[in-house]
Amino acid sequence: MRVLIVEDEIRLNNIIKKGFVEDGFAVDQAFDGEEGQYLAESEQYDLIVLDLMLPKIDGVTVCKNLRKKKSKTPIIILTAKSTVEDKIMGLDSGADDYITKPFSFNEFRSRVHALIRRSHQDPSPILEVDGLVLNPLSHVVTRDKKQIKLTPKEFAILELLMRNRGEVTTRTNIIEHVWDYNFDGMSNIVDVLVVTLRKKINNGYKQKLIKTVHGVGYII
Amino acid sequence: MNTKSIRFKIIILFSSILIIAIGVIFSSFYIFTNKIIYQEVDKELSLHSHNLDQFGNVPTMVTVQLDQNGNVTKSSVDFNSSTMLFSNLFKIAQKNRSITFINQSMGNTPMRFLIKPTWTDDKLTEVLLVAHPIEAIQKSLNSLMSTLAFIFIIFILPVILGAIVFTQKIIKPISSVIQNMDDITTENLEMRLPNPKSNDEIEKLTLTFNNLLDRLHQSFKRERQFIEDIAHELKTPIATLKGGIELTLAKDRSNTEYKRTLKETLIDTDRISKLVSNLLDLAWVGMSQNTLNNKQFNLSEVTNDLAQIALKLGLQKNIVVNIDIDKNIKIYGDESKISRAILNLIDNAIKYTSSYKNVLISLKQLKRTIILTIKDEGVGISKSDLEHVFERFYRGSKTAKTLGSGLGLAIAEGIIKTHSGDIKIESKIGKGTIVKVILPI
Repeated sequence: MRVLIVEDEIRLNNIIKKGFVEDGFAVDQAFDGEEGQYLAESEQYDLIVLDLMLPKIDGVTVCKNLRKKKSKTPIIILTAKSTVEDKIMGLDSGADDYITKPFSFNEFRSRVHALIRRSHQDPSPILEVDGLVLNPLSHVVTRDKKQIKLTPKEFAILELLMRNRGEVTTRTNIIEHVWDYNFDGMSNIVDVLVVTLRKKINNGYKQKLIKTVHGVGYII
Repeated sequence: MNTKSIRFKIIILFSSILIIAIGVIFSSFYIFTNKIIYQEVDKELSLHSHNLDQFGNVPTMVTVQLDQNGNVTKSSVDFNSSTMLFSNLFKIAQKNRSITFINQSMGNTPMRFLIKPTWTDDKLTEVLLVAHPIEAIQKSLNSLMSTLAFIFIIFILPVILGAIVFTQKIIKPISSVIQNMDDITTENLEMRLPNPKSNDEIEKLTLTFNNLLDRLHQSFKRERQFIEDIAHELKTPIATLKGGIELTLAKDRSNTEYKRTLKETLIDTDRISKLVSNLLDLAWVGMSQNTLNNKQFNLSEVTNDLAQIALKLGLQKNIVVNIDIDKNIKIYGDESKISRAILNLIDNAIKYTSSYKNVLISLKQLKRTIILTIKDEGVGISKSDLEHVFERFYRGSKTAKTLGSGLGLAIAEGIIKTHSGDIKIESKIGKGTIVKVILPI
């Protein structure tokens, strides 16, 4: 999963980023409205965390602009403004959730996961394909109740594939959702990671999961 | 009904004035009529008494003559029955030397008597009594009196009712004002009393009250905004603090990581405590008149110390700080507060000036006033911002919210003003800002 944090308070932005990174997310940061809007328009995000009082362009305007451009990315507003009017204005500008400072980090995390789940139309917080179970919140992957240890990137790729199960996920798509803006690695890193991932989840099982669609990407 | 209410008082006052007025009119009418009628009777009696021969035969008229002892010498009626009466009248004649008129019943008939004594050589020689019956007159007067009394009593009730209606009418706008005032609470301070447009005291009262509400509403709004601003200022560092701690606690971490988190939390707590101490300073400014620690101190030294701090701060940013301070300027006031105010101003100058530019700090004495000038070549303040710079939590549009709490200038202004000084800011965008503090010695 890849998220964008638009928050001008640098230290708070860093803390949120750290939390997301520990969840295996790829994170981009923006410190004003203009930068935030530029990144949101040019990159593929699974979620945007948006402050309201931002330099240059305020959060509500950023949100409205993104929705005008048909962006479907879930937006969660994270702000110190806590009046009912502010909440109404924020949600009516096209945001999907509204959380006020100071907030509980765990609640924030759960809300983020709920939003991602909803945007992928997953009914259950736990993803499951043929006995392979992935819990995005606790970061645990099991196959037939046996735990499998994955690196954060492997976990992120598997989560993405499982969220799009039955459909082909392209390599570009994987790069866009698993790595942040600063990534300019080799394109075959995806293939390398998928190979190790396959080894870990198929080891000792007859049914091999994750199929390669030649020239396109992967499917589970 | 509340007997202390203005309504009750007006009703009582109004009806008693009317009732007394009517009573006075009616009784004077009666007295006047009474007097005029008797005057007429008396006139006739005098006339008859002068011309007894001519009017001697007027029916029902009584003429009696008494001698010096009160004995009847001549009478037009049978007098046996009236001896007592005549002796009474004779006594009056003895007392009064002139002609006297008196009402006296003779038998059952009320009569008006004229008593005319004749005196010769200071001796009563003869008394003439002439009388007319006045039964009809008395009856008329009595019926006049009872009619008047009757009318008077009939009048009382309508007068009181009228007073109530009248009072109601006067009081009604006041009552409605009271009712409307009752509806206004701190929750709906934007409500106003409707203007009655009556061009009277009620309209004046309404307008005065509305003005009062305006001022109250403004200050309420300011206070509420201030509290919201404080809350907002506190929320971000608390969110950072809380988020950082929660995140660190989410799993076991290395010692260095714990240390880093603790250092981070220290930054936030510093920020929060700085805000709190700023708020305390603001509160001090708000109620300082009585707690001002008024001592003489050397402003030159204080300013010089602060300028040295500015020099060091400037060094980090490669800003040249020029210092031009007159020696031995002494003023009365609170040294720590004044120094706080100057520090805030110097801090701003350094903060908004970019590298390789100049800041000037000068302190001069002009007769009985002291002028402290802090001039920078910083970003400057736009005209629209300049009007608001002294407002609490106001930050210029250019400065975003990264710098300071927005309380520095408000505190500085408050401190200078409580020392009967003044603070002025001139600024040009891109050129820099000049802050002048004027203090009396």
